[in-house]
Amino acid sequence: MKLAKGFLTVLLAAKVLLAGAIVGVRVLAEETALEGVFAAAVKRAGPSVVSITVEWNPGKKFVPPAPGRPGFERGTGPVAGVIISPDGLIVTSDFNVNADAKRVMVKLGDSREFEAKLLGRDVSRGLQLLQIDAKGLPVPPFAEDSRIRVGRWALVCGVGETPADPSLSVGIVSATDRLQGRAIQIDASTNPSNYGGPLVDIEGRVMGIVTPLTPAGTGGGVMLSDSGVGFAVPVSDVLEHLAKLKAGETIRSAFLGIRFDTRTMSGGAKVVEVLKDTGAAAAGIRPGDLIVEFNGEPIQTSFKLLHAIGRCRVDDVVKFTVVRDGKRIERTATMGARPESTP
Amino acid sequence: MKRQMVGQSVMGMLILGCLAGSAGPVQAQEAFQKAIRVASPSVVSIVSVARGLFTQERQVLVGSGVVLADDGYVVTCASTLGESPRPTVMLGDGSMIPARVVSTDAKADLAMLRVKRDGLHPIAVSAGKLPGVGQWVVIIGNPFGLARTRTDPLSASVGVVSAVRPVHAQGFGYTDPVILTDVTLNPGSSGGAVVDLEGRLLGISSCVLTSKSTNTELSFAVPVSAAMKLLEEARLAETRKTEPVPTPPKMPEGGYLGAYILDESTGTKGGYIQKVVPDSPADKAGLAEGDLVTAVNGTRISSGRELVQQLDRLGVGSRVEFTVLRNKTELKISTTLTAAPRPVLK
Repeated sequence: MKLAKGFLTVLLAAKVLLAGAIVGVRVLAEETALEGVFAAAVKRAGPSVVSITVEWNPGKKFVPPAPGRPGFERGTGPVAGVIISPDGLIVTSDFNVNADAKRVMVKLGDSREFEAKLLGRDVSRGLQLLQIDAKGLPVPPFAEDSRIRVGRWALVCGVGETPADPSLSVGIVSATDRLQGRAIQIDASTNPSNYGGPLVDIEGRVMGIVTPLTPAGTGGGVMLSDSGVGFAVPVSDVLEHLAKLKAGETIRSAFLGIRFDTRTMSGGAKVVEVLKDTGAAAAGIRPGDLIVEFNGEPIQTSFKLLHAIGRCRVDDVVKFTVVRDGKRIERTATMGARPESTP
Repeated sequence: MKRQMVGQSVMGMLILGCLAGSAGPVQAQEAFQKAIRVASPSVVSIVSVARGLFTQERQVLVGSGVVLADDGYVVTCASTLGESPRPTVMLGDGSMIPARVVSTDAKADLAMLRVKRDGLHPIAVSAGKLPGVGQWVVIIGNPFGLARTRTDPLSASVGVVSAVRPVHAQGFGYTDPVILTDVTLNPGSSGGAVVDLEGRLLGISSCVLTSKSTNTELSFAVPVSAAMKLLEEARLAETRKTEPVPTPPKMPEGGYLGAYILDESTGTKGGYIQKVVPDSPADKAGLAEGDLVTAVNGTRISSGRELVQQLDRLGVGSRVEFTVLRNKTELKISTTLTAAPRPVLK
């Protein structure tokens, strides 16, 4: 405390007397102290955070209760979104904004306001793509997947007082490849006010988009808000499916229709059962087959394959290499939808 | 005046320099990563199957545990086990090993498990005093059982020590100070490791409890000393268990012949058969009243008592050959001893 007081005096004195020295002190402070770096990261990503307000269609404001969660009233915002292309594409969480909305307004950091058009929705990741009629928007720097590692700082931006001044919650990356390989897990606070906002690293690069997912890997995990367990969809995954979303498609999680032997821990994934009328059955995969490769990626365990399939979407065409009676066989399957399809 | 100010600003620079060395964000991030890398091979997931209290419904409980010794001792939070006598420990390499509850500390809500596996990675333990308020902590565990498949890694969180004090909460009887942190614990985190930035164990994440005084949820860890004490107790319990307990040798059930033998210690050259029980092995083999048994399986006997002693050594199913003198003729009579007929109440 005494030290801090002394430090303040120093700053004050320096302010009065030595303009040169004060610049030096300030720069040093911003480069080194934790707060300064957090602020710098937010400053870098901040201009790409937008604030969204929603007007719901009549009768759509209240969401009835569903198994595992109570009913709730939808918020009207402002909620967060992230600019991902200079020509007006904005990604947000489908918890906050979706096709039930009557009117969606987007406010930029420079206070301009636009009515947004709803494009595609990725139900499997809880994301909604919006478009506004604007050009030259600030796209944030994106982090490569290899830079997203457990233990790194995880900063979540949400909406603040103004879009230019986003809110911040801080934590670390708790796990990667979570929920069958779909999400980054973080311990920073996530809640409806920052769903749709960016997950930012210490250098201000966007790692992912925060969305509420359940432990089962489906949308609508709002009951985990502020629980110390939050999820973000890797930005690389969003960009990979951008064309489909731009075309207005609804993307759903895939279902292959295979049950595996989960006892073996090496050699490949052993097929125990193939469900009827599924992609796997159509591709001619049979019980007893040993899957050793998936989309060119070697598969040692059924768990690795479950992750690889978990990342897939309906209509994805995937390639298997299967060992049957000692022979390697190539099979191509088209992913179908889960029979008990989640909304 | 001016000189004094310059001096102060130099001091200010020095303070900032110190901050750069200790609390730089990149250094902090690297320290978190190091702690996670060092400690996580020692943190395991624990799955137990319990029956519902009233419904008998099958419940799968997920918790976390920490490897304390390479010969298979794993500490966890006792209440995550439910009533399961055989929890399963899931190691980082995906192997699942059934564990045994060796000892428990009901007050601290800790349980010591043992798995039959050598060469586990025991966690480094922070010896000495309790952590200080404001100290960084890294918590590793399996909240909500998010590490669903056997090869999924566990989750890591960071925070700081909020307080070190005793807590008073329903169902928690540990009266010494515990480590409260600002990390939110969730079902499944219990039993996990709370480590310092060197990856050394400070405490074991406890169950989420609600404070009696403030009605708030508490996230805290039981200090590592309680876990080490339990480890000592468990080792002691195990040594006691492995010492050979002198169990009385099991007496083989004596074989039944079905003949009364004249118990005479002297004066004869063998044992006289006094009476034969009808339908007994003796009867079926043809032993008769008045026979003099002179040898059993080739061993000569000199009295009725010796005959009884010889027969006592033979169990059910033993084949026995008697050398018998009857009317001055030597006979060989063989039979198999049976189990004694149970007395029948009429």
